[in-house]
Amino acid sequence: MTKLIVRRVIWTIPVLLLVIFLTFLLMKAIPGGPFTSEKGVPEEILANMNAKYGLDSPWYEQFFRYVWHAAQGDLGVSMTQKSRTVVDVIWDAFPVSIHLGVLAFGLAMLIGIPAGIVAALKHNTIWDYGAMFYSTIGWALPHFIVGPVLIYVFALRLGWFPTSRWVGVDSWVLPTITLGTALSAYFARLTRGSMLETLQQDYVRTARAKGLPFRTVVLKHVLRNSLIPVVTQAGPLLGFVITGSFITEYVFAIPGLGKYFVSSVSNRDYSVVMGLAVLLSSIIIFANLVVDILYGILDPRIRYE
Amino acid sequence: MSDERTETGRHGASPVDADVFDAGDPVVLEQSTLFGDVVRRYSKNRAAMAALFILLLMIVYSTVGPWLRPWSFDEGLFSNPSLLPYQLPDLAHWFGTDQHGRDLFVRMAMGGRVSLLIAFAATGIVLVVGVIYGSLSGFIGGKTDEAMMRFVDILYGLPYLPFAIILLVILGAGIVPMLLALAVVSWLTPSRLVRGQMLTLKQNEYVEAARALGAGRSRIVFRHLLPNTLGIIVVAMFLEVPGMILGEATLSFLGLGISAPDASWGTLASEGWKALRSHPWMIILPGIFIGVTVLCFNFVGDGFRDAIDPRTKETK
Repeated sequence: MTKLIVRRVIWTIPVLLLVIFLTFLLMKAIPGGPFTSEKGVPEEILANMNAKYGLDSPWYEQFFRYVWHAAQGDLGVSMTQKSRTVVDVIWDAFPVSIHLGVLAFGLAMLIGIPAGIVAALKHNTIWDYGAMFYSTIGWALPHFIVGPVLIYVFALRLGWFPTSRWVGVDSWVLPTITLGTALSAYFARLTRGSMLETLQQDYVRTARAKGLPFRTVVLKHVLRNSLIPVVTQAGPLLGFVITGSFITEYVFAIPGLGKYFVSSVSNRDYSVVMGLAVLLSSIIIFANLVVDILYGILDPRIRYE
Repeated sequence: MSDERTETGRHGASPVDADVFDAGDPVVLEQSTLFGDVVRRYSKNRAAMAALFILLLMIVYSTVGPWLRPWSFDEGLFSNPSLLPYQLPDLAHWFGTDQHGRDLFVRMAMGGRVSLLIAFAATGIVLVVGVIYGSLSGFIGGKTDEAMMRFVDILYGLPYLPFAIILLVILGAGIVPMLLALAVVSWLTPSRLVRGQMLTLKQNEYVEAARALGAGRSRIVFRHLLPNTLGIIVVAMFLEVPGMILGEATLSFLGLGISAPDASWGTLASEGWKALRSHPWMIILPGIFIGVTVLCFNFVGDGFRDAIDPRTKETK
C-alpha cells in the first residue's frame, strides 16, 4: 500500500510540470500583450513594464522562473489589480468555489446514490423508470438553463431566495441545486448500473443461499462493492463540476474561481488566468491521486498490480 | 448456439449473439448482413426511433426554417420599423421576437444551423484524430503505446472549459475557432476507445491468417482492423455530438463564442439570460431546443450501441 502511494505521488510531479508547460505555451500564444491598449503605450514604457514583470527574457527562462516561484507558493502579481498577487486572488475565490462544489457534491450524492440504489433494487418497476427518467433529463439539461429558470421561478416570481451573490444560507440554495442536478443524475445512473451488476454476482447468490436476509446482503455485500465505481468516477467528475461551477458562478454572480477566470480572460490578466488554470489542473491531478489511493483501500486487488 | 446462421461481411465482427434476437422467428434463409441486423434491431427500439425522428425534424427545421418566414435572421427594428421588440409568439412571429425585434423562429433555425454544424464538424475532426491516434497507439503497441496513452491520461484529467476558453482567446471568435477549441479538448475519449478496440482485434486469428498470407501492415490496419472498429466509432460519434453542442452553447453563453448578429443556440440563450427578468421566454426557447437535441442524441447513441452489440444492454 505504501509503495502504491509513493509511486502515485512521485508520478504527479512530471504530470504537473507538463501541465504547467502546456498552459505556459498556450498563454504565450495569446495575441497581444497584457499592456496592449487602444491608447497606444509609448515604446519605452512598454519595455519598462515588460522588464518589471520579467516578460523581456527568453520564454524558457520565464518558464523555469515561473515553476521555481510556483514551487515556493508565488504565482506572480495580478497584472490589472497592481496591489494584489495571484495568490491573494486565489485566497479570496477558492474557498467560495470549494464551498459551492462541496454543497453540490453533497446534494448530488444525497439524491443520486439513494435514487440509484432504489432503482436497482426495484429494477423494472415504476421506481426504476422514475429514477431513470429523472437521471436522463437531469443529465441533458445544461447549467445555463437550469440556473436562469430557477432564478426566474424561485427568486423573481416567488421571491423565496435571492437572485445572486454568496452571502448566506438562502443564497446558497439555488446555485447548489443548479450545480448539483446534473451531478445527481449522473450518480443515480452510475449507482444503478453498478448495483445491477453486483446483484448478479455469484457471491451475492451464495450469501442469499446461506440464508442471509436480503437486507444484510445488500448492506454488507452489494453496497460496498457497487460503490467502488462511484468513488473512482468522482475524480473525472471533478472536471465536470469545474465546468459547471464556471457557469453557475457566472449566472449567480458568485465570486469564485470561475468568475475570476472569465473576467481575467477578458481583462487579459495573464498571470491570474495562468495561475487559475494551473490551480484547477492541480486540483484535478490531486483528486485523481486521492481516488487512486482510495481505490487501493477499497479494493485490495488493485494494490498488487 | 442453436442458430446455424453465420456472420457475414466483416470477418471477425461477431458481436451478434443469435440467442438474443429473434429466437422465435422462422429460420431466415438468406444471409443477413451486419448492417441489416443493426437496422432491424435499432428499428425495434421505440425510444431510439422517436429520438431519431425528432433529430431529423430538428435538422429539417434548421435547414429550411429561415426560408419559411419573410424576415432575415438579422433584420430588426432598425432596418424594418414594422418589427416590435419582445413580442410573444403569435401568428406572425411563431416564436416571438427578441430585444431588437428580430424574428425568433428564423433566429432559432439559424442558431440550429450553426450549433449543429459546429457539433458535427467538431465531432468529425475529433473522430479522425482519435482514430489515427488510437489505432497507431493500439497497433504499434509496446512502449510507444504506453507513452501515447500516458499522454492521453494526463490530458484527460484536465478541466476542459478553462483550456477551451484560453484556446478561443488565442484563435479569436467565430465558427472555425470554436470548432478547433472544441476539437482540441475532446479527441481523448475516441482515441482511448479505438486503441482499446485495436488491442483486442489484433489478437484475432484472422489477423494472424492475413499476416501469414503476406498482407502488409497497412493492409491489415485498413482492411481488417479499422472496418471492425466502425461500430464503436459510430456510437462514439452519437455520444460525442451532445457534448459538443453543450460545449459550444456554454462558451457562447459566457460570451466567448459566436457573437451577434450571428446566432447559435448558446448565443440565443445568452441573449435570453439578459432579458430574463422581463422575458423569460427568450431563454426557455433555446433551452428546450438544446435539451431536446442533447437528449435525442443520447437516445440515438444508446440505441445504436445496443443495436450493434446487444450484449451491452443493461450494463450501463
